[in-house]
Amino acid sequence: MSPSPSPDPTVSTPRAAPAQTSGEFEALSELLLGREKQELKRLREQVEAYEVGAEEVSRVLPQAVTLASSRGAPLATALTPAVESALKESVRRDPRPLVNAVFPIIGPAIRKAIAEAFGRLLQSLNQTLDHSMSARALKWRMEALRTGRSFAEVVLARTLVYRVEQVLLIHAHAGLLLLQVRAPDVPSEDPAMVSGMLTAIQDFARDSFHVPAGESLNTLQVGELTVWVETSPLLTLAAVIRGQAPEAFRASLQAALENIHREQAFALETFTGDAAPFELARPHLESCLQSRFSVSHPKPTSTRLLLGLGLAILLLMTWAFFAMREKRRWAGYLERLRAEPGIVLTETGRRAGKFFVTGLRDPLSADPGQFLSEFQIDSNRLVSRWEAYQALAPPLVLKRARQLLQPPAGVETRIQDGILYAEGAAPAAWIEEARRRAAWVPGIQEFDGAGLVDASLTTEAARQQAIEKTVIFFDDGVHLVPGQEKILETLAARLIELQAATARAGQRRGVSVIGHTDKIGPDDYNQRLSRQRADCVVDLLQARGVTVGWLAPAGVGDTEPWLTNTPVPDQSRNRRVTFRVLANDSRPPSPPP
Amino acid sequence: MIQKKICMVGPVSVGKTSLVARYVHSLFSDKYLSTVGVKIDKKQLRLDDTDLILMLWDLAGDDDFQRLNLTYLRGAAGYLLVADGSRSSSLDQAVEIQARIATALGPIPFLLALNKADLAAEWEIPESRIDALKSREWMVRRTSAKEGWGVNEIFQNLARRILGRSNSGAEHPSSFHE
Repeated sequence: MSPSPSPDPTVSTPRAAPAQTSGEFEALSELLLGREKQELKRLREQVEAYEVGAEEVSRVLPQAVTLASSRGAPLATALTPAVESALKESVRRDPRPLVNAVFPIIGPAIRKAIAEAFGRLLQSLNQTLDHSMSARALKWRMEALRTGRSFAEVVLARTLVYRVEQVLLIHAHAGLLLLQVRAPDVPSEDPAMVSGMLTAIQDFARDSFHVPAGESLNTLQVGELTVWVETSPLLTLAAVIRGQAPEAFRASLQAALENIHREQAFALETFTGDAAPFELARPHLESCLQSRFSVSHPKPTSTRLLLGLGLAILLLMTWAFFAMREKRRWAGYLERLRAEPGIVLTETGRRAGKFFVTGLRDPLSADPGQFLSEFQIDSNRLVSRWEAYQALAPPLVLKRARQLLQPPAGVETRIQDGILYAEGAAPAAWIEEARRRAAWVPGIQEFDGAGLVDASLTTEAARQQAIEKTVIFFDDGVHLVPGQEKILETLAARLIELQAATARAGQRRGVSVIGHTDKIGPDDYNQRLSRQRADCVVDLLQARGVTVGWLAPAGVGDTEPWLTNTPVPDQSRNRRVTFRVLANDSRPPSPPP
Repeated sequence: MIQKKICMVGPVSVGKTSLVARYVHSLFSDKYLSTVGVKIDKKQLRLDDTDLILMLWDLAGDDDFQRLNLTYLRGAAGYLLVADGSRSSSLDQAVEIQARIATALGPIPFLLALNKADLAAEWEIPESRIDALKSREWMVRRTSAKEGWGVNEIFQNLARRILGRSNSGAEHPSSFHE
């Protein structure tokens, strides 16, 4: 504290000597500025003390920080905001110093990440290419479409068959085994020694190839087995994998390692050979015991074999079916040809994928080509050669006979035991010609024309019959019963035809016109009356164009009654004129004078 | 169960591998020594009510052609320094190796085995030299891998020392025939 007198303004020395002037001035300045002086002095002392303190603190600060760090977190907690702010400020001002400082750490980390990503990409690409053309690939593509995942993802998920057989947690420095987990039924050499040797090999690789610090051997490949090794500063996690694990599994290993490292930090730092505390890490290791087996892994070879065999059998059966069908059709066709009259097969078979048939063929027989469609045989596949000959088979003999004789319509022909039978109406000239020419046809010994009638004769007979059935009725005198004009007209026409036919045939024929009466009256009267009636009809016919000399009227009275036993009132039927065609060469009776 | 890593170090042809072979049944072939430079074996034992696993790292012999790989000593709880009693030069090399290890790894327990004690006629190490080493707190034992003399004891003594139950090298329990 300042020892100066009290700056009481009430104290004054107005009567002081001049020697005391400076003292008075002092007193005055003290009086006026005492308070400020004291304040100034105090501030000066503070500044000096601060400089001394900073000097001292700078000397003890490193030690103090070290001491505080060893006592735990409070210092770190206290410094964190300041450090964060300092980093931010540094980056804001100029990021380069910090980038340069961090680069050696970031560089390897980025390289490692890129290498692993690239490895994963390669693996994915390889497998994608491998499976892009197989049948399974189609299934997987469908799955990819359905689930919305990429095809590569599906392929990876479906093909990577692997099994993590054991996982070793190893103290990285001493190579001592901390914990081991193993899949069931997996034989294992002494894991402690394996751990040691693995660590030794890691050291060996690191020392031999001068890799940068922090890098280490992370994959060992022995046949089907792969050992994946992940390391942290104090721990090594080694997974023994059978098959091919996806790169993603490495991430699982890394995650497990990080978790163990974090949870077991204390046990690691205080480790003296007792592995018991690391038992707590067992779940992490067990989570690494992954395995993936292909679902219902198909056996492509056997399936393909079966498929191929099935296909072959199917093809064989199809071929056999078609071959059998073709054979059956061909046999049917040949059978049909053999059954056909006028065709004789001499050789048949198959040659160079085509059918061939040779033989004898009657030109009148059926065309062998017409049966091809019936048996569904392609005409282009048939080669045939026929020699012509005359067959004696009855159908062909008949055919040949008909071709030669040209029977008119209405004549039926048949052949039996070498005899050609002909039946029906035919012109007499044809009948005669046929009788003569039939013997010319090979295979016909005899011609039987008994069933033939002269067509011209049969027409005349019919006409004759029609004429002879015609009746003209009279009253009791010489007058026609009315309504018989039409009958007379028809009769006249037939008589004219008959006359013409008879003239053509060179025959001499005539027609009797016969008058009849009933039984009433005396005979002579009736005789006379009947003749009158006949003459009347002749006149009527003559009026209708019939040559009069060709008709021979006659009266027979009541001697040829139509109805004999009829009662008298019905005698009208007997009052009539009838006609009779005279036989050939018989002259009509001379008309009475 | 406590595990301890113990390294076998020493010049070539002093019998390190033979000592290990006497002590354990080996899983790995000796050829590891010439390829990787280390062969690892395991010995399980019970020492004063403590179950112990010794992981024995047999390191390739140190000579002019192949320097001892100190990396393999990382994390070791102790080591057996082996020299050939019939070759005093091997003891010089062993002492030099010990110095290198101490420099690199700091003070860790070790035991000097003077091997080939069966070759009594050719023994080159004078007692005075052994005493000198003992005076530096070294544990020194004479062994014969060929006859099996002192083999169990060197491992047990080293293990005791590692566990902190051992005593100084001044004590010299004569556990084998000379």
